Amino acid sequence: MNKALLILLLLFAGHWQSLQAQTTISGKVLSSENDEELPGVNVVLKGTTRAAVTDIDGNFSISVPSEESILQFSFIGFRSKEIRVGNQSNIEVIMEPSTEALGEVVITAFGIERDRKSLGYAVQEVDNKLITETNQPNALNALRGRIAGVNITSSSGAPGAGTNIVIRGINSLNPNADNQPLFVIDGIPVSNETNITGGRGGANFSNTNRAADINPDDIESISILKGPAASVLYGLRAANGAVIITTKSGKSGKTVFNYRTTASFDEVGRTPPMQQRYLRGFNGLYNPTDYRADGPPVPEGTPIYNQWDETFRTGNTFQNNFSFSGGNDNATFYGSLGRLDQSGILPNSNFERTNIKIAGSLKANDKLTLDGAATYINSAGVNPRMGIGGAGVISYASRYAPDVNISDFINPDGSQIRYSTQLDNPLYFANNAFQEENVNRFLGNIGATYLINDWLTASYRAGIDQYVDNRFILTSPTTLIGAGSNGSINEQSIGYQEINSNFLLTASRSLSENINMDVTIGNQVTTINTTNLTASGSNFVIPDFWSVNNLSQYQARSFPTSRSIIGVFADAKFDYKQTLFLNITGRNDWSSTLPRQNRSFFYPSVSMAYLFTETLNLSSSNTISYGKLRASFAEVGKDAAPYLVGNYYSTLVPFRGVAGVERNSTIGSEELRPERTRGVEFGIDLGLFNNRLRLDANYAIQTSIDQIVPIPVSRATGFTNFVINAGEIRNNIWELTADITVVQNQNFVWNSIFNWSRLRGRVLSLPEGLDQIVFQPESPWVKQRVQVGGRPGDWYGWPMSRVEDPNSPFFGELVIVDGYPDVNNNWRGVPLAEDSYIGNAFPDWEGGWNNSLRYKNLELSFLFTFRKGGYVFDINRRMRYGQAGGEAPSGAETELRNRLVVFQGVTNTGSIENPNWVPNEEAVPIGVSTLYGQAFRYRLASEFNGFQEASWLRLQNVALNYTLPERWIGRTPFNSITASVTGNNLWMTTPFIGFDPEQSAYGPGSNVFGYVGTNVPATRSVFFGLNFNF
Amino acid sequence: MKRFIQTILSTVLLLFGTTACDNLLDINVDPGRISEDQVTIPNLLPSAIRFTANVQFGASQYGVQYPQYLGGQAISQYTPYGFDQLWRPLYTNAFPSLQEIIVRAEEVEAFNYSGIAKVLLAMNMLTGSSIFGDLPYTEANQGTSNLYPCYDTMESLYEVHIPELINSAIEDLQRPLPELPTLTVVRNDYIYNGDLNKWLKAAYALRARYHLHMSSRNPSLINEAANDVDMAFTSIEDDLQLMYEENIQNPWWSFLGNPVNKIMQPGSYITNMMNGTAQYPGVEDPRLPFYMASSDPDNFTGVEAGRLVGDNPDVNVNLTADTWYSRDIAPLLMITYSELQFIKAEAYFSSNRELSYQSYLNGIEASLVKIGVPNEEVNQYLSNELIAVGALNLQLSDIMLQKYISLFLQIETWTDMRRYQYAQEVYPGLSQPVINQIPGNPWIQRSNIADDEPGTNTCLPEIPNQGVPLWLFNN
Repeated sequence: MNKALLILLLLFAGHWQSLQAQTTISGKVLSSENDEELPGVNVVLKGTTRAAVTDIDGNFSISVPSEESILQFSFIGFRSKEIRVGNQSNIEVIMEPSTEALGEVVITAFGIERDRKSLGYAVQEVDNKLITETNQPNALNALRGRIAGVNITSSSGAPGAGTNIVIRGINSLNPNADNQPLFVIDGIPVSNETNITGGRGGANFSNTNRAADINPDDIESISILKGPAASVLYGLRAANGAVIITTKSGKSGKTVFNYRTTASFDEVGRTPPMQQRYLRGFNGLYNPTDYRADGPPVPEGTPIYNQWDETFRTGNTFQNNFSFSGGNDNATFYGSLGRLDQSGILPNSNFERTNIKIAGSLKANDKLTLDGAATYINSAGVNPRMGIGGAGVISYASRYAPDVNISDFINPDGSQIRYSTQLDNPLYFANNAFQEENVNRFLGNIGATYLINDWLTASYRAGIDQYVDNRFILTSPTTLIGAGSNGSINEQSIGYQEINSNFLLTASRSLSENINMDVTIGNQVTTINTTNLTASGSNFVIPDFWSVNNLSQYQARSFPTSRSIIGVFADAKFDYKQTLFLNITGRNDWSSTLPRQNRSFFYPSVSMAYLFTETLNLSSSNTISYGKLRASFAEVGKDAAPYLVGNYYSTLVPFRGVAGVERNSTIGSEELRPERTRGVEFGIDLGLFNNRLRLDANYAIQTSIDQIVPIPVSRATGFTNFVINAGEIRNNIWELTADITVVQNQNFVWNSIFNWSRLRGRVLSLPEGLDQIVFQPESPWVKQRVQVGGRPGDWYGWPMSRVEDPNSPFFGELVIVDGYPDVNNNWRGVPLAEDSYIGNAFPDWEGGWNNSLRYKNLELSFLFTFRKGGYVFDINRRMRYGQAGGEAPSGAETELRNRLVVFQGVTNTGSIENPNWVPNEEAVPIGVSTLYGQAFRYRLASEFNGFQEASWLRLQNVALNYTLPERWIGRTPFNSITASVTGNNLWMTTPFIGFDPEQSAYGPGSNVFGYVGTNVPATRSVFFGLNFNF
Repeated sequence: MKRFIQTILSTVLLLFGTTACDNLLDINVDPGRISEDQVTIPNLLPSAIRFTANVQFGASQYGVQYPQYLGGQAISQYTPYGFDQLWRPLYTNAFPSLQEIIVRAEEVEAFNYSGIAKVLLAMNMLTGSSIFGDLPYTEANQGTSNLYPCYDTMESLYEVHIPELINSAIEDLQRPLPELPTLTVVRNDYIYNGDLNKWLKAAYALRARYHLHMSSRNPSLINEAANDVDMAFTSIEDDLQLMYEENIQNPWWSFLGNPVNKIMQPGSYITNMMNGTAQYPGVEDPRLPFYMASSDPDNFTGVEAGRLVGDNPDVNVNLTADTWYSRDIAPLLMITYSELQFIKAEAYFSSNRELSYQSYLNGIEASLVKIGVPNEEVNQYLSNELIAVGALNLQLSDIMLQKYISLFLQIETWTDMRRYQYAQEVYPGLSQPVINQIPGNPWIQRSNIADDEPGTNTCLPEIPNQGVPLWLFNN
């Protein structure tokens, strides 16, 4: 590979070697609207990072190497412009206002800024204002509902909880795959790992995704590279797309200070109904120690509690950010200090974060520019144990009988008041089973750009992302789950170090009057080293002393990993008359995680964009002012996780002084090949009515083949999983965005952006011999499995039986047997072992509608998000209906019980072959022994085990900003003061009964979707903020 | 820091040589785990023994609701149960470790190790097959070369494979010791501390159990069982059991014995048998307070078969941290001298009533002494007229009831019950669960198919519902 690069280098160097003197160009930038000078316009020498900014009078000066040099002018709210220097030394530039909400220049791979119009693929960008205006501590949450084709869900309402982002659907059948895109900050890939406690299937704690460490106030913009064509240059780690974050940097000119402070009140959002009619007990008999709420009716005068009110409290979030920026023509500087303090809606839950960032650039001479940035982050928090298994705060609370006061849980001696041997008190549990986390992280990068000559630029950047995540997980011996081992503690130190080195050589030439060419060749080297040191054990010596030193049985485990990727790539762009654009790329990666013979792999991409309005000369037309067609094809390879190949042995926990070894139950093929994701994409971009209406439509087909999957194998093979290349998924994606300027005049502007996307996945093949993959947890009532021809996220279970004959007048009615609803067509002999398809976990379509209105100093924006379809398994609902294991009905939600009910449906008076349906008239009691305890009836129907549709329409965010009039602050040192009120998740409508169905039972980065109800529910919050600029 | 420099340098070095790249790329060997060639036989043995105990406990954990030792979970109502707690440790842990010991040991002629591993593997397969019937054996544990292992029939397991394994173990345990000094003495043996003589007795004990099972199909084999007993354990000191320690507690302690977890409770059948209200009217079994604790020391009430924990507030018995089987430091019993004596009693019941009676008494005595009943109470119990019935009056049910008590919490009892198809003459007073979820209300006969298998294995036998008797019991 070294030779290939060397030859390329020589080619470029040999052909066009020339050197020219530098000249300085000065000029002025004016607005076309009123001929006013424009301050703060970015002036960039094309193909370089050399840049200047216009001063208060719109003046700039910049040195350029030749007459061929091209200057790019960009400013928010204006159309970008490119001007060839020619023989002028003083240039007057007139910029036209743009009605587009999104800038014309977008950031693409390796921080390369490109004209939106030249792109042959879809990229969407969100700026700082939208991110900070939501006040979300996790910047990803601010993107919810704003980007077509991108599904962003917060895993829980716990402080610091992680957020899951999936771009254009699930690309992997691997239950352990994370499907998360690559995160890049200022050109350097960084970690967005979620180290889920207990591994990918773990559901016990609200773990944080590491992108949540980023201070939203430091973000200038976020650009989402959706398909492989957009992200291909980043190589294998961007196979699921890429999130490109550009952080703020210093601007030359007057030093500007900014201070922003917000405070919020957070309370639990939706809560499910709980029955309030029956006391503790069983079969109508009162029993104060029974875990079931199936006792006698509540006698009058007995105090009754709403368990949700008792469990949840009001949380708060305080955010304070201070930043400053300034500099001169040769050097700029930016610094910021951020602090977040958040307390959760559950006891013993909080999150805090401190960010310090500095960034600067230095123009060493006319040819060399240096820059660097460093960020230190500390994020820490505590969260109580949740979990799908029933041992969690929410699970316990949802099974509490209404006549028990949750808040009264401590005996005078400090021990827990536990009314049943099957339930821990949720508040006590929160304080005695939790995870504490403390992350210290450093992000740094340093770069240099050197102008070799007027058309050739070399740039180099190295960056590091390093953190240590210290965890302390406690399960006290006084809890039900801790008693079996007499308490356990797990102290873990997770280290992560990623080093990236990027080298780029860019050549920009006009090949003829009409054809321009940009060619970049580059090299990227990535090494990722992780450490994972755990000291864990059980058997407390002193019952309430919380330290690993207090364990009589403990062990230490260390699992370091190393992974390296070397990539070389080339990217060639051509344009013809700024009308037809062609972009060809190729990249070859060498990955350390694949077997030697398969570790080198190449993948290409081609994309085209055609501005048909230029050809048709429509740009002056008022109706169609802008029109572009685009098409692309790309392929991205993907490697495996480290150490998947082959098989290993591990030692066991010592027993009677001897450890012993065992063979690991996962074995990896020695023939592993890279995975591949292929994408084809077509799109159209239209600007209508003077660009008052911008439409963007996109259709993409993305196919993932040769997936690396640890397929579950029969345990009788001696293993549980075999890692091989297998399986193929295809996703079809429609994305639509409409951007409408409804009103625009001097005092009032109303802009409305609507986005919609529809995604269909299809499983084209599975590993040979395997006809399905079942995802955990499988309950017999509701399980998720993928099979050929099916879709990822397909649910199977035992639905209630309905009349299936479309000619019957009773078509679709419930089938009633002996007065009770029948399940899974058991009435005609279908055994329960044969599951039926009952729905899919992913929505049919989803989207968002954002409005921003500005009247003088007052700004209002509101965002609605919606989704249609998407079935979820509400584990909590099953617990509210029955006991966690499903054996016995505890009935925290069954108001109907002990009543006579006539189920609406039909009964069969004919034979199985020739059914004769008559309306059901039989009244039957709803009781424990007559209904809930019976197999084949009601209780086992998926619908009554928490399986529900989770469509919704919600008011995601409302923000009201008021900028104080200048005359009020004229005498103060402030440039501006803005006051704001923001509401998040204020309202929603959904047919779903339960907590907010968005909260996944599994953490971010889990490939299991649609299980809900066991995590901390979503919050509803109101923020008050002040922003000072001086 | 080293890697930082390496990373950055490789960009430069990339242009000049491939060595730097190879250094960077040839790193896919896990530094945190052991590779196959580093493993030794003495490393594998202790794990294999622990896994075997997990298999034996796993079989009992929920399964002992079928012989009604414990109750209170839905499984006692015969809801589908695939014995995952047995299947998983058997095939993912015990089988691979034991087979690996056998293969490695035979290669270096360390027949002491292979003999031990064969005893344990045969015991696990016998327990497994008596529950599942058909099981993968000849095609099991072949890794990626056979992803869909077919099942051997129960018939071939019982007729061919299990006896072959046991006989081969008996042979191996009598072969010369290996010359390799590291292997001459068996190390890390938690059970017999490397005493091959005891292992040989254990092999015969296992064969006695096996022949007893087989007598269901071929009654004459019961004589073989009796002969095996004479070659096997001579006292409770020889019992095949794993002793737990304070830090890795007996699994019954972790499951039910600890102060908090009480999801199952002793059943009314065993409780009434021992509290003097049923089969032994007026005789309070001295083992009762060792077996279970009651909140009312004068009254032991167990959970009725098919009832769930909490259904009946009168139920007052539990396994606790002080009851014998569920203490943290307690042995997990796998095959006991007492069991063998009852096998002998059963074997000679028709042919030599006197010998049968003597073995019956031996079995009872061993059971009482084992758990520490004081001598005085042992003698008192043994002389009670309902126990010391005399050879002439001895009934089969006397033997089987006492065996039932002696094998408390062991799944082997379920095989006894099914051998006699739950006959009232053998198990007087035994009744079906009050709620029976199997259509047709049959007695439970077998495990459901292991839950993990459908969907991962394409070579599955037809498994009827849990009410259909296995080959062994289908006469």
